[in-house]
Amino acid sequence: MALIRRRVVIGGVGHLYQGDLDLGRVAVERLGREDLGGDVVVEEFSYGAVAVAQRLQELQPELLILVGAKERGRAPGTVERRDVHALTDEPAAIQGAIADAITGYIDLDLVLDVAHGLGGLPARVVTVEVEPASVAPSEQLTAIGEIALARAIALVRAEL
Amino acid sequence: MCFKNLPVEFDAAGRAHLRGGIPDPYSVTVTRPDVAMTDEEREEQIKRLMARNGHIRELNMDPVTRVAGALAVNVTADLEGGRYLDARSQATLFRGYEVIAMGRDPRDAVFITSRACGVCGGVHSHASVYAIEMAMGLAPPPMGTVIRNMGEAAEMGYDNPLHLYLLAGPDYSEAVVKAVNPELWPKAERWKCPNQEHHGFATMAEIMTELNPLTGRLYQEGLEFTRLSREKFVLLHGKYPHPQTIVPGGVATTVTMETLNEYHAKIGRIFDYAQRMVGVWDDITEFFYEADDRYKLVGSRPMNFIDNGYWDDPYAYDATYENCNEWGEKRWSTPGVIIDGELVTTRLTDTNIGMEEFVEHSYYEKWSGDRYETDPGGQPLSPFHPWNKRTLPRPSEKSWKERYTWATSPRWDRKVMEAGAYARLFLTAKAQMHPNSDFIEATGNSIRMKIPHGFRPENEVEWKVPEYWNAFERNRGRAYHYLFSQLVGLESLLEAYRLMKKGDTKVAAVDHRGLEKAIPKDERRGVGFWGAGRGYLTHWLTLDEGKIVNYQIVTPSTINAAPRDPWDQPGAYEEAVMNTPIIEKFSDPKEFTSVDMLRAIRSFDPCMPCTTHVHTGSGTVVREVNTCACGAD
Repeated sequence: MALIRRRVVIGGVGHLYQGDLDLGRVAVERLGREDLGGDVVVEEFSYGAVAVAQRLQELQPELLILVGAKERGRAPGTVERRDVHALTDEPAAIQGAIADAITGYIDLDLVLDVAHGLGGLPARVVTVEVEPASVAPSEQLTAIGEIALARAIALVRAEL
Repeated sequence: MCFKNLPVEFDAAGRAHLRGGIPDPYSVTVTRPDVAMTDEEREEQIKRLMARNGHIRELNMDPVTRVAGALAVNVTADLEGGRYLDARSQATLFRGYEVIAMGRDPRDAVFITSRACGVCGGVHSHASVYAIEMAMGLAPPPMGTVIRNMGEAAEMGYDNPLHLYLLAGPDYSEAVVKAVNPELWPKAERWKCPNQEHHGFATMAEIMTELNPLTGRLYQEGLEFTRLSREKFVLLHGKYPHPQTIVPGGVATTVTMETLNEYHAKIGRIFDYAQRMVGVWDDITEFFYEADDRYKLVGSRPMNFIDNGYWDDPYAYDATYENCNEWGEKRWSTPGVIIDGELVTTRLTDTNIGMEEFVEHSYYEKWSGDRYETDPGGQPLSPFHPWNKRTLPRPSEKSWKERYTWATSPRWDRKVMEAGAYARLFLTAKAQMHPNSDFIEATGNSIRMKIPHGFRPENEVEWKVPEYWNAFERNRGRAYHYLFSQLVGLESLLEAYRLMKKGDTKVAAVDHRGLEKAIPKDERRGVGFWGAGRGYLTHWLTLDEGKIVNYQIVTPSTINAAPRDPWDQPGAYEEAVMNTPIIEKFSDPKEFTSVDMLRAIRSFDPCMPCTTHVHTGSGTVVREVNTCACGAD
């Protein structure tokens, strides 16, 4: 396995053109254009979480920042920063997450559960989550999603 | 004559024609397949059984996976009789890549449709590129095709062990067997593995222990070898999944001797592992057959397969529809159709013109209007063919009798087909058309595969056309397909070395400027006859004025997860579940885990997100045909 150590990895988890669910992908697209320093790598993680976990094992960051939209019943546009701790160590739950990932599902929580279960998460993990205003298919974020995106990007920058 | 239902016959030159004298020949009421049982008859049967048996239960196994609302299977089970009386496979997730692609520059389709699946990282890119380059008239140079072959062999090297050890394998692990089939464990402890010399495990119990999720050695090894294959793919295409180097007319990859040597070093590690894999899945299959004969019925259904073939002959593939039968039959795995275990065609034009997609039980409107009456070669096309299909979403309440899924019902010759990596083995074995090889030999009823020496000496294994078709044979077939795909990867690598030696290193027909100029302004059609780890994959497109005016995708899971069709024929999952006996032991219906049904469904390597790939915003299509892509974003 080729190791490419980076201090910080910023990963976006999104769904192409699925309204505000695309936010994670758009966020890393914009952050990728910025000069965030040589020890920061910005990547899109909108794909199977097993492959994401393997990629994280290659990158071996000290800090992982995951950004994306996730429906949790909060007010639309809510932006939350979370230090990730206490992920499940229950084998059945981890295997459930891996099975979902293999069956093609893409989700921020799946990345966390699968990467944790397969030993791909660094000691420090931060998520920057947005509550989507719309998950109906669209090539643009909603106006609320755009405002939330700007706040989410600012929160990501503040972590560096 | 490969068609039994469609009114299509062939002249002496092998060209298909519509049989004369049949008004409205493609009408679903005029041309009907033989159906064993209608839904009405099935319902009557259930009512009769319910009247005299209190053990009939309707169970909604929702979700089959942990993600809510993605794949549900609604079954009616006779728990006392130990059988499933009815099953409905429901896909409730819908997205929109076909519709999103419309009105765009054709080159965009490669990147958009790649997102149809998060696991199959490169197959949609390839299928899309095949369709686009056919429409553009761009044939890749030999090295371009060889690099594609090597990349796709690597992709199969990712998909197959991922499924066998991380998804299906746990169903046969110590943890699951002790919980749901405890009577098997003492047998497993006593059962001596015939393939111990290949995989190193003395008893079936040892194999089952090593299949345990997360902790088992086979599980962990499966994960490790997916990593190795992912690295092989990345060597060639920069990233996995969603590569950006697969382009119409070839690849945009810089290939050096170092690239080939690195690929060689990685593939060399795979063959010992492949030998262990086929030994493990041979032994699992034989153990279950010996333990209880009823396991031969788990997931059983007729041997009806469709596949496009895979991995091109770099000197035959010319990206034309006109010659697709010639280059198709020269693929490493042969395209075609198998019905009831018999090979009926190896011609890509037959697989294409026999394909129809029905939406009677899906959340879509039927389409109508102008249509192509023939393929580009003048052979008849159904109004239900994907080149004629329009995606008209119609969300509605779920009704088992009416509409209940976002999946559609693809049928070939109005028959229920199955897609899978193993279909490649059936077709290649029976057709005996594959290129000459030191490693692969089809015999008509089997494929002999010579495994090059690694740490172990050279060895030969043989996949035989099975007597039964069920969940176990799907898994066994997938294990042999892993070896087959890696041998194709090796053959392609050797071809790449030969081309490199000759200095024939051009990988694309044109550069990006040439590609821009190659976009046609007139109306063109293309079809990407390709495959995925899960089997048959086809993209169809129509271009006009340089933009996409229709884009259609049929994935392997669209075929396998299909609902009923206009004649009440159940889809492949539905049929496989209805044929599955309930073998698990339980004293209380609350303890019923339906493991036999889950083994049946998981043996297909289900991928639900790529089954439904049409989106709707409040019931309306978001993008319109022929909008100008330059102003879309």
